Amino acid sequence: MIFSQAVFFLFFGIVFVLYLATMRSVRIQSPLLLVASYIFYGWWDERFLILIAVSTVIDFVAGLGIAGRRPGWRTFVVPGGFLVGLLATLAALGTPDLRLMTGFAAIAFVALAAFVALTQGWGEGRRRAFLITSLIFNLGLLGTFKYFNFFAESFAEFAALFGWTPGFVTLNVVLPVGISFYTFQSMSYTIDLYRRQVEPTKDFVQFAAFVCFFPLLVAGPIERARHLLPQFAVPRQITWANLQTGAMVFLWGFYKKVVIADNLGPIADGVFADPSAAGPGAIFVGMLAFTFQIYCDFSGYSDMARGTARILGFDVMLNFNMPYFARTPSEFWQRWHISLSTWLRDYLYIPLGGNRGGALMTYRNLVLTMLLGGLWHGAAWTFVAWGLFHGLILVAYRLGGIDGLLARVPPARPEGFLLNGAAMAVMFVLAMVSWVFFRAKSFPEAATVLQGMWSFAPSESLDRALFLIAPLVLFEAATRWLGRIYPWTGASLFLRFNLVLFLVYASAFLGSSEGKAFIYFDF
Amino acid sequence: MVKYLGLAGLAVLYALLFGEVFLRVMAPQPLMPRYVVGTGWGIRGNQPGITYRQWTPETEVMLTINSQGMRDTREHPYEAPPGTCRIALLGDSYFMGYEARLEETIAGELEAAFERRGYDLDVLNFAVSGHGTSEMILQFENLARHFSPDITVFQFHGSDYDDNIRANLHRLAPDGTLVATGRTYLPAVGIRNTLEAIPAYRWMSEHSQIYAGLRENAAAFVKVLLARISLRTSAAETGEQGVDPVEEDVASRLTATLIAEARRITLAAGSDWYMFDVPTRRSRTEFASLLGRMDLPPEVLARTVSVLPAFEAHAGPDTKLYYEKGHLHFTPLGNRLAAEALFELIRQDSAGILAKCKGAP
Repeated sequence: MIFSQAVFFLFFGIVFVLYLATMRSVRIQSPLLLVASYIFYGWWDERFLILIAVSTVIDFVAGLGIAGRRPGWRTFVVPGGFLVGLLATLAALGTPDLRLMTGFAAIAFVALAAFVALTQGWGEGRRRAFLITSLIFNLGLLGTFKYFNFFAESFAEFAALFGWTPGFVTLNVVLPVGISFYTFQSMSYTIDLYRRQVEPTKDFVQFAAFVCFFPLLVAGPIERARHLLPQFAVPRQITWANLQTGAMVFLWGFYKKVVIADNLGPIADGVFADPSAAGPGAIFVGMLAFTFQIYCDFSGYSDMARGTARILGFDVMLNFNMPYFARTPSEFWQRWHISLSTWLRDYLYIPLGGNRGGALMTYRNLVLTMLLGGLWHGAAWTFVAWGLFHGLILVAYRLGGIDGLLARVPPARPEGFLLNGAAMAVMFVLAMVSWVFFRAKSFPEAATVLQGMWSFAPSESLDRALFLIAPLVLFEAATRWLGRIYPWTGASLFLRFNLVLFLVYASAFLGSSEGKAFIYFDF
Repeated sequence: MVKYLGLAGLAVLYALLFGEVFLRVMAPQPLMPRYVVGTGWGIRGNQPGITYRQWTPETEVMLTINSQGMRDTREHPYEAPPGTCRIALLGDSYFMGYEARLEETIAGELEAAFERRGYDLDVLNFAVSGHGTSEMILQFENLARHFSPDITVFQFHGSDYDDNIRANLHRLAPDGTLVATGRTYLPAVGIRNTLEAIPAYRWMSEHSQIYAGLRENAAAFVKVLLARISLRTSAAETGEQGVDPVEEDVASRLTATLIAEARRITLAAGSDWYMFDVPTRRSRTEFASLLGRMDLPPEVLARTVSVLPAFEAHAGPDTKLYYEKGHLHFTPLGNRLAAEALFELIRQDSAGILAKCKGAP
């Protein structure tokens, strides 16, 4: 189920009522959230549940090991019972491939227990061993389900260049929804534990609820354990303020998704179905449409996730901060998919050396980080190219000292206003160019789009795209000008009421009825 | 308390006014009031003797209903004048000519096509918006046949599958035969007539965007709900277990049987029979027929008029065959192509019948 579907509202309504009834007891709320989250995730495909469950068990035990605790047999009771309960439930539901799932869970569980027993006498190295276990398992999951076929086929293509045709096996697997998100969120826990930046949890249910927290589960934000996990340990309050704020953020995300993203989608799809056949100006319109589709789709989801979490009393990090008003690539990545960019910064860029090794090393680290960031988005070379493009423009802006130049000219002055405006326009075009690689299915297709996107011609599609985008741009421009996060922040009750009416009417009468899935679910 | 209630009331009023302005500026809603009454034979009929306005962002037309419930400015005697042929049209809003001027409807274009070729022919339009095959059968039996049409054309549209189930006027017996349920189908007619007697309501239904938008959304929701309820009732009565896997099959079989019955009663009444298939629009250049869900006999298919070839030949990214900001009815071009397709088949297959009204071109 997705946030913009009626079934989600029914689901959340039930969860909310039960949550309200159990408000005073964390002991009941955490299992409630855990069960609700597993129902939410299982709605996609219940077979996905065993993967996240096993990942949770491994990271829970590994977390205790990393923190220097000594996981004993008691540590395994609740997780073991959880796995058994899950498998029993799946069996009752008649889930296919149950034997495979049971075997997988059993092997992982036994291997983990054996590993714990084996490493009992180890010293400091035990912490590292548990961390490596967690990383190997989570990255192994990603590698198997997301990247195995990509690398196998790429290797075969590369080998063919030398006349070699290796026989190899590709896996016939479905990519579990949200795997890139929950594995990263889970790894942030074990890595932060290793760095002693967070305390371990001994409550498996709370930890499991943190890993699979349904508002964030399938498309983020990728929360940090040190920010979100402690919130599971304390009673949450359902307050009128949280309800108002949460509902408002949710409505804003809903509007971006169903009104803007879902209506721009067909325009972009129409062009990308066959870019070579697109008429004059059509490719530009298609790219403009996709540029805002992906922003509104993803940020819309993030806002709906944040809003849902806020209603339940949780504070979830901001994931988008008007990125198309960024002036530089560096600023863009402080505003776009903030949870991923900060994750990559903290767990990849800085460990690689960050900017501590001189200019050349900094550039290398930037490009490597963005390359891997591109690969995270999808198992295709076009995504790698997208990441490389962003890495290169980050380097280019550093070389040109543009960040420093913009910082020296106050934005309030006329020349500062013009300079910042120009910088935003240039950065917007660069972002749009980068999306070509993101959306195209191949490099030849990307080349066709890149060639064709610079011709402009009036059309009904352009009118429609501008009609959909204009209100958003106006809202965000005003928000940016006022230095706020959301358009209603600090606004009067009357203005907020009008904004709510606008969003509600727009969603009701302009919203696409097709209910498209979110683009980032593919990652 | 009174103060808060007053504030709440003001807020609601403001919200409605905001909605009215919002829709007029951002999302103009088609204003298509529907004036129907309950007929003596238990189905909806056009309210006789009225003229009313339809407005969409693309077109504005006036619809006139004569005293006999037909969309026409003329009155027609039961008996046709000597030397005059008659074609009766039974259908829904497509045949009724929603969003089209009278002369640009299928009926108007069809009549004009015959007149240009020297026929003395009247097209009597018995179509009522929302009618499915079940209702068309009752409309023919109780009204149209009294006018002794030489040729009768039943319209088919993809919505008929659901409409026939929802109407619950006919069902299939376990042995597959058609059974009239004896029920009436007058969805909200009474309520509607009561409300439309109020001048303010009538004004609102013809001029208010917010009312039109809310009503259409509510109507769409209720339609789906009614179809589901009727299907479950129908499935229960025929002893069929489960609904979802059977749903499409029940609707298809019922509609196919109704079409066969429509043909039978038309021929039995001495009128030649045709069916017109309204294609579904997927885009400006893609259309599809939904007839394929049914297993229709050759004699039905032989008299089925498809406008698909003509649509595909004329379609283009800048050509509208369907209105896009209303209720997806045919544009004047679409109506003309439909009428021409009908004209060609009728002129060819019913030449003998039409001989009596063939004059000089």
